[in-house]
Amino acid sequence: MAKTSQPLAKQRPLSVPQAAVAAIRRHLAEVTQHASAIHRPEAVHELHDLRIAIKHLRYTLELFLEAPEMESALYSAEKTGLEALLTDLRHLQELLGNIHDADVLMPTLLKQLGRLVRKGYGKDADGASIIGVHHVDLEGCEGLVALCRRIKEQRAQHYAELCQFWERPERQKLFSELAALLARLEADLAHVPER
Amino acid sequence: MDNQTPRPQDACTFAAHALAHRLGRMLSYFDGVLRGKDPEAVHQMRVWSRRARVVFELFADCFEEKDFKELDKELRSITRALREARDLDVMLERLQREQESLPPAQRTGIQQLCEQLVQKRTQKQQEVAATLKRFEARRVKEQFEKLLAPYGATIQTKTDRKRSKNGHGKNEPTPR
Repeated sequence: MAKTSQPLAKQRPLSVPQAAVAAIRRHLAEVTQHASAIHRPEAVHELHDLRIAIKHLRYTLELFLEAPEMESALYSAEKTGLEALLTDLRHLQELLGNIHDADVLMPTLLKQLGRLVRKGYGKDADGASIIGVHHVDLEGCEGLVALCRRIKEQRAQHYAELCQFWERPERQKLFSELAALLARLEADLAHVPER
Repeated sequence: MDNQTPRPQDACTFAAHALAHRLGRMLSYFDGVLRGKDPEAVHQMRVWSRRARVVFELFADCFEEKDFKELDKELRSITRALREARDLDVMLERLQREQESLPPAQRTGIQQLCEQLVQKRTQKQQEVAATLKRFEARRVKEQFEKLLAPYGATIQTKTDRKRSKNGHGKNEPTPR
């Protein structure tokens, strides 16, 4: 599972841009670490971890963009880039959320299917063997199977969209620009005298 | 860059104000969640609790360790209780929507599942209510206010916030 945010190092007084660089860098690294899951559709836990990492990065970016200090630390093109990145992160989070919802719903449906099917074999409450063709609600089972199939198809569509979105050069550029921005801010901050 | 640079604040002061804002938003949904009839209130309260935790955990070093641990635990319990309730709300909503496209005879298995989930959700609501009441009984909001006061941050809640069609405050973005 993706870890929750670890506190920033004890460097007081830390300025807002310094804190922003440290926090965003950490969350960007978490996204990068979990990003390999994108090419493995069956990696359900890792895709969920990626979603959490993306959410942390998004919340952290939104947090620091609220700070007046960041307003003065960022060039307008950088701010525009960050806003575009936030839009992308929201979309990625939504796609990964849809995938996760499908991954969670499927076993719930299968468990219910199992409950229905289980009525058709084995022993009854008195220990007698269950035989006959009337015990299982086959139409109810068909409905559950139809829904499972639909959920699987929808999941495959969301996954395909995720891969396509992830590979977009524009998306990749925004992530690279964030890394470059962090390096730029770090270099600038290194030349600012301590308050 | 902006030439009208405001007076810089240190990261802890910024964090305290950001946390106060998020806690205020989270608590705005307190009554709606307690009533148990508004899935959107559950969703929003969970989102804002998560946002509050991101700030709190990121800036844990700005606060006394004992206070942080205690209050972080309280926030976590809210996020956890709401997550399970929200998961059930999402699943129920989807099942109810999806079954409509099936022939009536094929809906029985899904309907039974929905009934079980509704029952589970009702039980979960009791847990959610207990968590929120404990939050009140332990005066967690007041503890947070005490923690944030040295930074000049206060928690402002709007419990009777006007809701727009999507269930949020008017002109507010829809967080997820």
